[in-house]
Amino acid sequence: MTIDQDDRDRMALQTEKLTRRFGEIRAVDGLDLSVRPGEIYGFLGRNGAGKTTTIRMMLGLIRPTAGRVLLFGVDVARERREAVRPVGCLVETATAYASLTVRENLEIQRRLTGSPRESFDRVVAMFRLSEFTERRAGTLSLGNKQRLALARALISGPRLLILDEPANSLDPAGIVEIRGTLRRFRDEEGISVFVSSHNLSEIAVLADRIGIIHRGRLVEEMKVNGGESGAVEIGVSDNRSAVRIIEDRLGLRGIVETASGTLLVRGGEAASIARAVVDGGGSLHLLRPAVDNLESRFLQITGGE
Amino acid sequence: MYLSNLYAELLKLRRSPISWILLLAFGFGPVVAATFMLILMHPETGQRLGLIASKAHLAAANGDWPAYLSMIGQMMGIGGVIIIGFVGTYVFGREYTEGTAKNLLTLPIRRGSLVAAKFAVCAIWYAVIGIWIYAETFLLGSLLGMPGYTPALARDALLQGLRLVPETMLLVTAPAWIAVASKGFLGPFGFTVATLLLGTALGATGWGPWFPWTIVPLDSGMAGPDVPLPGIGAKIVLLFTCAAGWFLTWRTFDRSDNLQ
Repeated sequence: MTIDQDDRDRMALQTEKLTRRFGEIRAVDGLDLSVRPGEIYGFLGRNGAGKTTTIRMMLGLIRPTAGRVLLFGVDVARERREAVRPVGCLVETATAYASLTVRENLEIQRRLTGSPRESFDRVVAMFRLSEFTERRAGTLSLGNKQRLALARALISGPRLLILDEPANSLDPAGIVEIRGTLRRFRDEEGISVFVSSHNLSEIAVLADRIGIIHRGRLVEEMKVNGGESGAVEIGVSDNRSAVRIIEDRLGLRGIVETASGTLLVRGGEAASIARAVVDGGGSLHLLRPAVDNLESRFLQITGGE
Repeated sequence: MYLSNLYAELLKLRRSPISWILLLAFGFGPVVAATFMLILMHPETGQRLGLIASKAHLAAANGDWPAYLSMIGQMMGIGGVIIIGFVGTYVFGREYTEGTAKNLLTLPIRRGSLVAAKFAVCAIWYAVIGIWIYAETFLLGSLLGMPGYTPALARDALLQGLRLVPETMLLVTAPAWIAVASKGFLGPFGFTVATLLLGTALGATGWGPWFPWTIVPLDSGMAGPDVPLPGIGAKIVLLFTCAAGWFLTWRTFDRSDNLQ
């Protein structure tokens, strides 16, 4: 596949044959992927699959052995400062200057990214940090540290967020909150998000598209939330009637009933499946990407090691 | 952008408890020197203090301003080399031990500007320490009513300080580079200890004026009045050491893998 310059410029993030070797080990091996503007791309892989190394190359923290990373068409290795200017990031654990207050941590980031003064108030309100602004970052709870890290990543008003395991060590409420925040950014501000995780269910409900990395290679890309490669799980009051409605209205076949009584529908978009069921008189009480299906696919790809 | 970098670095330093602890620790030096002088000024009282009095007699012959300022000068020469090692180690190494280097290095700023701001803060920090030490020295000396003060003596001591402080600052880049290269504190701490040991050995063999970490102590007069102070060649060695350390720090920040 050839990629012309217009395509490169259109993409928020693009890697071309990205490779990184550590001695004999190929941590990342010829990775080709792209993230479109306004897309949430989930980067899934087991621990040690090459996710963090990829992200470090994307942000110019380490240099590729071969290949390149383009952020909005700008080569990170050649023009690092220009390339990372529209990017906010969180690499692995959320860290901050422990002896500085939340306000000072954000103020440093604001100044160093040349962001306007108002951006401080904006991110403080966004992440509900107002009651902590004068607290030292070292005294914050893990969840609030994560909020601070995200606030720092967003203070410059980035067009692309690169997040490495943002839900790490967070409790379920914190995970839901971050998920909601990322979706809101995507929906309201059109921000692209590249998010890595080893947590399959988390990625499945968050991402528009998923790339699976295994032993440094991108082994599969799939759309979720009703894309052509994913499956949608629905819960209805009457399975038989729902199957008939979906087959008749959308022409989809191969709908299967799960052990828990829900239906797995392949090949259709979640929204159109839901509309078809409701319009056909069915009662819908569950609609979600079929995580079990993704899970089995993931295990199949990665060999269940 | 450089000013923003400088603002960030100064804020980090001002808020860090380490800055104040180091200032207090080094500030203890003039207190010890003044105590020795007090003992030497009052030998009959000092004899009752046993070991401390013996130490005081070993450190100086008389309890007066010339002996006191000479002791402070040597403290700045030898202690300064250790302190500047800590300063460089802390300012650069903390970014790795606190896990903040990965944030700093993903910012759209020149890494050269970042390195320059950090070195500027090291220099400011050490200058503050130097001012603090000399202010404390003169205050304590005056309070004790030490004999032998002359304006010329004070001027010479201050001129020595004005020479030693910048010379010592030039030694900050090497431990900073080790901190960046080893991504933490242990490497540069080991380096500082190694330079002290090596400096002692080289100082005894006559190679002192060519070894950067011996030059400042020699320039403080620690080798005694009969040994000439290091010449221009030694200053060039210091400048070269600083330039090499600066270049390597920048190069490592800019080019090496930043894994934490």
